[in-house]
Amino acid sequence: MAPLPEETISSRSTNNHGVDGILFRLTHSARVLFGLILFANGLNWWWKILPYPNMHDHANHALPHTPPFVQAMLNTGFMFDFVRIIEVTAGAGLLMNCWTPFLLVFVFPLSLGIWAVDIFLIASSLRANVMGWAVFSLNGFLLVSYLDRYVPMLTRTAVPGLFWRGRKRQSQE
Amino acid sequence: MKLTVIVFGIIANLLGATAVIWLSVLVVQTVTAR
Repeated sequence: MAPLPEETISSRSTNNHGVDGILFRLTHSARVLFGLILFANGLNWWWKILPYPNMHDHANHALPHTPPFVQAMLNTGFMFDFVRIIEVTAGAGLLMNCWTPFLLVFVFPLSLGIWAVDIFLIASSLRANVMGWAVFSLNGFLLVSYLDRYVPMLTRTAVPGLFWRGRKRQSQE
Repeated sequence: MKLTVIVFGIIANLLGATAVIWLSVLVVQTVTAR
């Protein structure tokens, strides 16, 4: 499938009437909600604002109600730092609507991990179930909403893009 | 197709809004409990 020209994608977002308008508003609110969830959870690692593991908690003792898998990640001393840096960066980017399509793909493995931990390892908690399903469904819905942006990637076979030649190469072909 | 995406979006937004409200309650509880 040939990639859509930039003008086609941009003109779609300006047509906000009827069903398209509903989808546009749903996408906008989902992006803000997803950004808020990621940013708050990520920020908690450095500044204790939620009753979840924090960098100051795990140094001294194992927290109660923390699944062994999460505790093992905490014990490595670096994995949760990576996770939280990604969460804060992606959350801020989504809230500011910067690099949204890229951030949605970048953060999807993390959403899958959050969903799996919340649903399978903390299954008894309603809060964990709501958080897990919220993160997974918001990321999934936003990926569907921005599907146009990923169409160029969905080619079966591709030649290397020699990006340093810029758009000149594409126009010559 | 569009209807399916809209329904998916509404469910995702409802779950997201619930999660954000729950998170705000947790933030208030955690900050005030210091």
